[in-house]
Amino acid sequence: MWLLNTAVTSLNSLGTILIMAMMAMICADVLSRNLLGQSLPGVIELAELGIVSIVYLQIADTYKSGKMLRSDGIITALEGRFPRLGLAINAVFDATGVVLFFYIAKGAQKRFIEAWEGGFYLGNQGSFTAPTWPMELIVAVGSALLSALFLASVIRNLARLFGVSTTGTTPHAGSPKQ
Amino acid sequence: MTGLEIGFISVIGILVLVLMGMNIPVVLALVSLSGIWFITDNFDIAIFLLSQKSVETISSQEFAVIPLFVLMGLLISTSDIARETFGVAHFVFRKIAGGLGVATVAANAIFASITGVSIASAAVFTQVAVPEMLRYGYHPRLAVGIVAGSSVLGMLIPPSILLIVYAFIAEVSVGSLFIAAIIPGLILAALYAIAILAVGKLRPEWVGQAEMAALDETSDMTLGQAIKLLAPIALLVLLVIGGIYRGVFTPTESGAVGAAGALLLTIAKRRLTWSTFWQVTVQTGHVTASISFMIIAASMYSSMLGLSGVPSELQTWVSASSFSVITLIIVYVVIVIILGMLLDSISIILIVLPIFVPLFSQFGVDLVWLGILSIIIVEVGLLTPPLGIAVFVVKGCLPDKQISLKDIFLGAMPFGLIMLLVVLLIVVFPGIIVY
Repeated sequence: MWLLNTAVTSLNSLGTILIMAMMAMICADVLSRNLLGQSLPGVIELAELGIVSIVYLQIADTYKSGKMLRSDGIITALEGRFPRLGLAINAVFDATGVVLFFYIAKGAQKRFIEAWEGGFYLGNQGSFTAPTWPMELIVAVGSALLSALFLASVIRNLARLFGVSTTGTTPHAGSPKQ
Repeated sequence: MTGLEIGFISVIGILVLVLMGMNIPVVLALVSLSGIWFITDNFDIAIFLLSQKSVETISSQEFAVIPLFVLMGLLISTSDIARETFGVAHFVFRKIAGGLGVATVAANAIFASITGVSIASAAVFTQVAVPEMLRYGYHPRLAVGIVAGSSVLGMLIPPSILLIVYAFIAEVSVGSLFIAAIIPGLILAALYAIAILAVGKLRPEWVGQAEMAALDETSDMTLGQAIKLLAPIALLVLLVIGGIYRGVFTPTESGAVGAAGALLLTIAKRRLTWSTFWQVTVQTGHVTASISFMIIAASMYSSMLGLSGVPSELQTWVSASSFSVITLIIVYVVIVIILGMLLDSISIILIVLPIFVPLFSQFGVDLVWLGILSIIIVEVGLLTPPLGIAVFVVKGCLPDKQISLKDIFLGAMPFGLIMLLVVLLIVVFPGIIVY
């Protein structure tokens, strides 16, 4: 659990730095184009790779901080009145998250290997090229981590449902927030 | 099973699961996945589409600026800019009955042109403007209504996250949407102001008329101070809007320039520490990731609908029945308003538009025009019970716990009606947007 949390936070920090870098890069491009009369090479390619990386670096932490969109009115009322039903429903919902992000991770892992072995890149040979494997790796790792977080939440919900006391009752990971 | 039946079942499935409290992107992805699996009878194809869309959808330079627009807005919110803009607007309109209300609308419109989210406006102005209005003797319902109502401007006046999301779903350019939204945004703000002035004429006691004399004496701002306070904000707005118009940078790049400008501004005002900058950027990442996943899931849902043949079947059905474009618009507006009572703005856009965009295109409706219309009616949902997000935010930020949710909903209602009036204007005079 400690390892999982550390991994999530580290990826999140990396994503945060990437956002700042993206801002600097696009501004530099605008300046260069207007002052020096020519665009910087590779900005479009790096922006494309960068945004995908940012999203998958941050997605696990987004879920963990309860910022993934959900409309929580009914489930909160249900949890209040029928706590066990609420736990069961949350467990089922989180289980779908496990499966979904497992498959996204699996697909990305396959593309990562292809990109790594085939030397795939964005851009044009001669002017600017950026390899795509780092992005595919980030997508794979980010979704795998999110899948693991969903799994942890399923286990937590089931444990509480069947009355096993969990040490350190952490609040439900996807705790509601619109 | 026909495509229409699949489409219908999927929409019902999505609504039920979303209302049950499942994470919204997970719902959309799950229903699309099952739908594609069912239609093609091939699990591998469904998984392949999921995996492909999860990267392809967001891998573009236009998308890359979403975090930068979010960052710009959040940076602005940490500085005192909203409070200062409000102070200046208050100074400008101080001699008029209802001036404080008009000042709130004006400050909101200015604030909206440097941020892209309505929620930010609702939160900030509840803290800044509501206590002031109450102090001057405004009717509490009017005070909270003005703030909730004018927060809507945040998503309409560019930059706007909602417009960017729409641009992705309808495949139109972000730039032309941004430019098209300016005039309707200003019209809405002007109508709000007129309505508040009318209240000031008809019910002077609701706008604290009695305190007007005292107000004049306590006003401690000079014209020079007002200009000094407004200058940095005006500069930022000018930088972003002017840069786009002069072609110095594209509307998408304006996100980066705006964020950098906002960063410099907050540093110059000594409002920024490393730790707040870090926190703001982390929050930016959360908003970005959550919006991105919504869009990824919505694009899966779109392809699922495409595979099921819903859009083409609907198109045939609409052209066979003697549906006019006006009927279609009415049906659309009613559906969106009903959904607005239950769902948040982005979800509505993502669920409804993949179905309606092909229908509207069939009638040759301009998709930029449709975008502005959609944003306004979707935003009516921010003000309608039982789930009006702007109203909840106002309630959450309100220091005075005497004012109930019901007061805020009632106070916001006239502003919702004014929004519908703008919708009507846009339908009757499309030239406001498409020229």
